[in-house]
Amino acid sequence: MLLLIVLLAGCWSAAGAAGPPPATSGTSTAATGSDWDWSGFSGLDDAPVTDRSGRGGKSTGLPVAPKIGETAVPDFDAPARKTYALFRGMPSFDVIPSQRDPGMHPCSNCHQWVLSDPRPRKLKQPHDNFELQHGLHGKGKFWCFTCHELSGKGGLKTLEGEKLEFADAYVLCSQCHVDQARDWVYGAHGKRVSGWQDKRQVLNCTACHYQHRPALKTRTPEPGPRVRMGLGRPPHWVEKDKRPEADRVTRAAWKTEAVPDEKTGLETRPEGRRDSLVENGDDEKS
Amino acid sequence: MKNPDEKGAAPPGVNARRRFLQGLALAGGAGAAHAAFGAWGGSTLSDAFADFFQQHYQRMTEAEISEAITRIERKAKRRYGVDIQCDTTPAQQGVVFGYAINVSKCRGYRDCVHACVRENNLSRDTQYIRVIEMDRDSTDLRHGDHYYDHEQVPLDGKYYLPMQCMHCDNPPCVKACPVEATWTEPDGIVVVDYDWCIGCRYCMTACPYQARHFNWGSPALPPEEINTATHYLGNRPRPAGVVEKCHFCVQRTRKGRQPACQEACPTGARIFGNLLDPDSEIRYVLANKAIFRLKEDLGTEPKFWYFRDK
Amino acid sequence: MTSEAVKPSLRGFLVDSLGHLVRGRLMYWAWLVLLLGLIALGGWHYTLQLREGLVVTNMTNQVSWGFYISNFTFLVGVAAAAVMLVVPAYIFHRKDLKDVVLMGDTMAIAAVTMAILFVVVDLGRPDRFWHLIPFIGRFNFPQSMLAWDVIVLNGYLLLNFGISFYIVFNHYRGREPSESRYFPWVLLAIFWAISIHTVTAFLYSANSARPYWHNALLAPRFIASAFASGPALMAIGLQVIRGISDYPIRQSVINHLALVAAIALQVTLFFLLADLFTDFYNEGEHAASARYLFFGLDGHSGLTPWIWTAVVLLTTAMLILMIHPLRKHPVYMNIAFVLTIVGVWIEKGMGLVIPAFVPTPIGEIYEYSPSLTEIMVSVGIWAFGLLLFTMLAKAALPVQCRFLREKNRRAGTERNPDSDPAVEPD
Repeated sequence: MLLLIVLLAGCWSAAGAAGPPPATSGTSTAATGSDWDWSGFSGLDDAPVTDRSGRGGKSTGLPVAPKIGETAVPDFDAPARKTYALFRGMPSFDVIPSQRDPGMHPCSNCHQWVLSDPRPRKLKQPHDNFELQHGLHGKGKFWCFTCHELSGKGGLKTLEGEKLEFADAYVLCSQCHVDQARDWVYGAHGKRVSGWQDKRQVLNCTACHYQHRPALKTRTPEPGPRVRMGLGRPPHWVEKDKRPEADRVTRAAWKTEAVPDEKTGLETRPEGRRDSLVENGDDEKS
Repeated sequence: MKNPDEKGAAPPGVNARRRFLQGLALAGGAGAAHAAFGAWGGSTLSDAFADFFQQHYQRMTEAEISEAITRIERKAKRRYGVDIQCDTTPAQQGVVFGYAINVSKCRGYRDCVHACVRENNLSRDTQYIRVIEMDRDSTDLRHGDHYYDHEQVPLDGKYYLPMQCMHCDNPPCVKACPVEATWTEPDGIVVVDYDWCIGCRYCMTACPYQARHFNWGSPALPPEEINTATHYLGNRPRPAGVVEKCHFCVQRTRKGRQPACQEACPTGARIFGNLLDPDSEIRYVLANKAIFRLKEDLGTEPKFWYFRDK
Repeated sequence: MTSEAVKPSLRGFLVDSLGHLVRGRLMYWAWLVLLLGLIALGGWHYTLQLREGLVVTNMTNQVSWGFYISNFTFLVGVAAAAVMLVVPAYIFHRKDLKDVVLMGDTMAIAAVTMAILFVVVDLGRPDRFWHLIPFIGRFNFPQSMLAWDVIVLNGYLLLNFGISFYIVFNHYRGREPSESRYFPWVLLAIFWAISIHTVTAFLYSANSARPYWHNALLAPRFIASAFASGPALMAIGLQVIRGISDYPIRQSVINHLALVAAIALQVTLFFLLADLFTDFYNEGEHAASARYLFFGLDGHSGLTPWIWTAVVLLTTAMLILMIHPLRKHPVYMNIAFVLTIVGVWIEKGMGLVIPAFVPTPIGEIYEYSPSLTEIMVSVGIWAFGLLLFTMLAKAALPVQCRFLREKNRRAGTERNPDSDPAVEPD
């Protein structure tokens, strides 16, 4: 009973200190320093969204955990940090830190009250959604505290015990993934978000790889090419199409079933293209 | 930038039609010219006249260029109801652009394709970038699938090969053009003067990468999605009947920015940079990775490399 | 006609020529009306294309050249075939051929004009045609093969027109043209005729991106098939002229053309065989286009029936023309001519142009067939070419007839051309 009270108190203090609401990355429009709209960049894939309504702060008093498999959102407003020298003579560049998840960070919100249990076990709330599928980790060789540090504000630590900020997660990754780290440092891996001429700014590893399950997931691709207006997909496409016969878009179908798109005023198909210029060409001309 | 998800109150197509009708009414006496030049993107008689006699980009004086730009902006306003800014930023000294793509990282999402379409004001039936789904065990382009449409990518046993203009150092398309409407800029970008091209499409037969695209009709370009920051040799709205192609986002890259496809790529598979800078990322890739180029045997010297992680 | 007073001035010549154009029998006028109707039809479809852009054709970014360029290719071949009359006439002084060589030039003029028109209608921006004019526009010479083609085609047109005009005008004035004046030009025109072929073939074979074109045999194949289709078309044209006018065309001329066509057909089919062997003995990716054309590729075989029709037609024509009794038989000979024309039109037209785009260099397959607009515009251009040929022949023939008759009278050897025993060359 005492434990529960302590726990609730910790959460309330956390909620008060958190400031902005949890960044639900799907709608975040952080000023990016580049024109690309990062709102679509919440992850490499349409990650399954865990329904967290049942255990949000107020009903259960437990902190909001990050969604499973969701990558961190780059925080372009954060001040530049000094980059760790991973390799001798490596070029200088900035690493864009990730936005903090205010519900879970810092760990000391709870863990100044609650002792952590260091024994490997099946995790319970609020950690139950951290399912490790990370190479060795997933096979039980490593445990939370291989990488996580609870003392102080919390954060990360290297295998040798050196404390790290979350913003410096790449140091942790580079301990094992040396080849990737070298490529990342020199620019053959990772994502440069600054212009080609500006000071080099790159994303942290966790912007693309969800740290507890780094393998990238699959996603639905954007629509493919069209032949050109007035014509349908090439026969080639129709043949490779595996959908049922009735759903197939044939060239004949393109010529008969045009629907005007609300947004563009162009006639489009499910795959989106106008059929004929002859009847509908007025908008385009002069 | 406009948020493409925003929905206007009225269907914009209606607006476009109304604008067109207003433009038609304004043109008044030039109606005949309208009918004759309509499909070619002409407008008033005087503009059509000036367009007709407009010189090759490299032959125009500065005054003529600024006149041409005013006309381009005026035409865009009349045609799409949008204020565009067209510039002529020249190539930077000591810069030659190159591109490298990590085939291991490309996952076939086609985000680059659509970022390019929006950035470069492409007709919505045109895509500069083609991502080809290839069998793991083959590099034969003929057995790739250009039109893959799966629920989820990447598919097991496949890899994805994005192609676009390779900006060859020895470009067969430039050689082919009978009127020098396409040429290599000092920074290595192969550009097209859309106001000089006669539309013979010989460059398209000459290109081994299928990188050139023809405006068979007037480009289908939704006015509310127009990118207004344009370049004369880049993404300004194009007329019908001319050839266009990827220009490494000349309107961005000459100002130090990344091309839209690089910016959109969520996997970091795309690496763009200055080939003359020994410290650039692309030079690191060329020096340290197992690289290959497509159809290298044709001797076109593409400035577009591919590499794999393993 | 002979009763007209000879007015030796240029103006008189032009007025008289116009006079010949507006005099004719009912059939002549019906023919003109038919052609003008077809031209109007083509013209109307062309305005549609001008208004909407090339979107009204079935061409795509995958198959970016289609029916227009196919016809262009065939017609360049026809145009150059006049050389098959010119060479024997002027170099070997075959008198029977010299009498009709002018008709060969006329046909060349019509064919080159059609070829140029087919390129013009294929342009996305015909309004910018002036960009192609050297010095005024910006002409990418000598890099671009298309620039070369513009020069050789227009040069050939001018050359043929100049020579024909000079000869006809002198004949109009009743005197023999000075051989020292025109012979150098004839010599030039002979080389030029070969060059329009070669340059047009190089236009295609220059594309290393397209293995179907990118082989050294293309230009020879081009010339071989042109020397089959050109003489065949010319032989038919000459027979028609002989049928409707009193122009003295001897059977020996037709026989000469049949022989030329026969040899050219043999060479054409041999080249075709050589190409097929090279493509298919060790078949690689470079043979994909040929496979598409002859056997179909991945289930796409739109052109396959056409090319096999062409092969059968050409083989039949060759067999007819190789067998002496059949070749000299007026009916079989003309059947062979028609088969040759149709066969080469398929083989050197769509059969040469389209497969190079299928599959594309990056492996797409788009099957092309011309749209109604393309067909109609092409019909209009063909009608225009026939009209041009008709008008030129109509204006030049009376002059030629009178001149030849008077010349023969002066020589005291006036003969009835139809009863003239043919000089058999072979």
